[in-house]
Amino acid sequence: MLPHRARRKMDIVVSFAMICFGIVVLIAASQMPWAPRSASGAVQWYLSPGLYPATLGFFLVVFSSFVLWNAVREVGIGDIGTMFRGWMRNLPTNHPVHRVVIAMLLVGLYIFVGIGLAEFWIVSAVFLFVFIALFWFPEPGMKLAHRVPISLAISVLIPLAVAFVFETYFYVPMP
Amino acid sequence: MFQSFLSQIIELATPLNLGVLVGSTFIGIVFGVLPGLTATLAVALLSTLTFGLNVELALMAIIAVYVGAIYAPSHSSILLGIPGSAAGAATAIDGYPLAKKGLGGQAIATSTIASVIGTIFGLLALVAVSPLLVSLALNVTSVEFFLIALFGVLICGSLTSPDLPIKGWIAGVIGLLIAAIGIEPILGYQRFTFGNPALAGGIEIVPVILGGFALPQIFRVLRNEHLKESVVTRIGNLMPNWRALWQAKFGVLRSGFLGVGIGAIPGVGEDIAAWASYDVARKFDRDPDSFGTGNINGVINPETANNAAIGGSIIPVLTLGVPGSPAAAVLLGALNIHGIRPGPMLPHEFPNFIPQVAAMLFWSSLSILVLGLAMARLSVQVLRLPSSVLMPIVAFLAVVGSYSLGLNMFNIYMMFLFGVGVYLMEELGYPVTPVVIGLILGSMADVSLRRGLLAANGSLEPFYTRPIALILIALIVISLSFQSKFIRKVLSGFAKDKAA
Repeated sequence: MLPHRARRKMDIVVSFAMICFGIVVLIAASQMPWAPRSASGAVQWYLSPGLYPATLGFFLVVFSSFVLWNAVREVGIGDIGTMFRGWMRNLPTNHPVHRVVIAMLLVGLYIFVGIGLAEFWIVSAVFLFVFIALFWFPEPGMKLAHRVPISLAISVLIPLAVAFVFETYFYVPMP
Repeated sequence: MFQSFLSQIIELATPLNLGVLVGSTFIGIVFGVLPGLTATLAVALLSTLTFGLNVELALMAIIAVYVGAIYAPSHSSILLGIPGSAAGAATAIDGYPLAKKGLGGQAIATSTIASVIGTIFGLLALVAVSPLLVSLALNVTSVEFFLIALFGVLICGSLTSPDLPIKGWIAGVIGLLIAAIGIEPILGYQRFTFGNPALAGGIEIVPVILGGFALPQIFRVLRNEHLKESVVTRIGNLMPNWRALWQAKFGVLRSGFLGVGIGAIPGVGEDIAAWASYDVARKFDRDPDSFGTGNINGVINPETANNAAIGGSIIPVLTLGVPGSPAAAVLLGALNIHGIRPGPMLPHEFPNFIPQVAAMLFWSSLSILVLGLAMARLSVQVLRLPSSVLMPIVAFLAVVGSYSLGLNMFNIYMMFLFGVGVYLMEELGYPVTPVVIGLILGSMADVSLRRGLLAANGSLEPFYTRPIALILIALIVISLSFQSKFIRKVLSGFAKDKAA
């Protein structure tokens, strides 16, 4: 979790976005049918499909307004831009963020680009090997000459084994 | 009920069932031991593997992996000082100092016995309390079901939010909103589908759970990759400290009650049960200052409570269809996939179901007794596995699990987008559990609200004239009021005045 002050600054941005989202939900709910009729012709507003999202949209606006109010009261809105610029300046040396972004990109590429490009087990083996190589190889400890064959074996055997079990025993085809 | 439970213990003891039980407990223990892999994730991933199995076998596997994964974080807590998941966090405070004194084996064996006792406590509560809750739930109308869903989401939000409780409520509201996507069940109107046919059927629970619990965990573990320095490799004698267990008998009993009670609160779960029990044990101990330096009671109490919470969290799942913990939420999703709709009608549709689940918990407790002790030395080896090798495998399994449910790529995209979204939200202090609970209870809340109003011709009268509804509204108001700084200030003022 972000440090307290940075979190409160972000709360201002995020809760404002949430309020906007809540308003969008309320508008969308208001455009749903609000006058379904019973067999006798009476209007049954309480059966409207908009009632439930409208209630939730209302709660979202109220709760987010409280978070916004709390954040503004605690830290003010003055230096959000300065804090963001400072974070951006430190980004080149922020290794934890690099690691998260790399992991997200790898999983994203695997899902949105890789799957469907070739046989599922081949794409998955490449994904696993690249992921392991990027994160495990630079760590101290075992020699690289040992890590490469271990990673290769894991990368190939796991997708093959999983695909075999799912397709043979559970009759679930792979993507 | 109790007689049926005893006969189910015998009926379930087939070689196939016991084989699946042992295999699943093994998987659960491995998941629990490894820091970063949680019980919820273990249950979610295994649920996707059980689609092709019959209900009995599938449930056996899921319960065993659940019990194994709640028990096993104690191994890493004791040997590494870092819990495998939040459920074992309290155990680390005293377990790790014990291991450093060369008493790791004794601490693991004692925690195993405590976990077995806790699980049995939970299953006895399940057998004893469920019939009462079912008979109460049969008098519950749509209005009360709506309030139960609302209470579940709000209390879960309050108790799981690491920052402001209101952020937990917002997370719960978002979960309820996600559940509104798709064709609504009363008039058949398409809500928030944007013309996309993949959204018409609503959002599947399993990809959301896998995305919400697997991906953020992967990102967090890889971000903080510095955990493998201090694993204790010499664990010593694997004999439980029977004397300490006997002396802690009242503490064990208290932790069992605490575990069941906290487990039954919607969405709260085993980790809070363990912390609460640890805190109470320290307050009641003759030597509270020894806590944190290797007091075996600091291992026994949280381990009893977190396993007792399993039975506690299953009680509302089976009787009301409301999950008591994140892992129980996944269990509820798995039951739905297998065509079982938990709720007050469950004992009428499947009379032996609750005793059967209790019997599965019983066999799982025996399984962790045997495997837990047998795997204590293996845990040392498992803990040496690098997270950077395990995490991509988890991501791969999450992809396969998401796809295997509906056999469409849309579920995988949902899983990824939801995972990234949850990671970012958690960084800002919004918890994921209320989102999942909201998603599960959303449909019930929506339909119950409108049916309740329909039954009263649009009047709000049942909300304040029916006794159960009034109690639920009172609970909601009280639990929300306690989050208010003003109310807390007033109450602490009263307490100070009284003390003065």
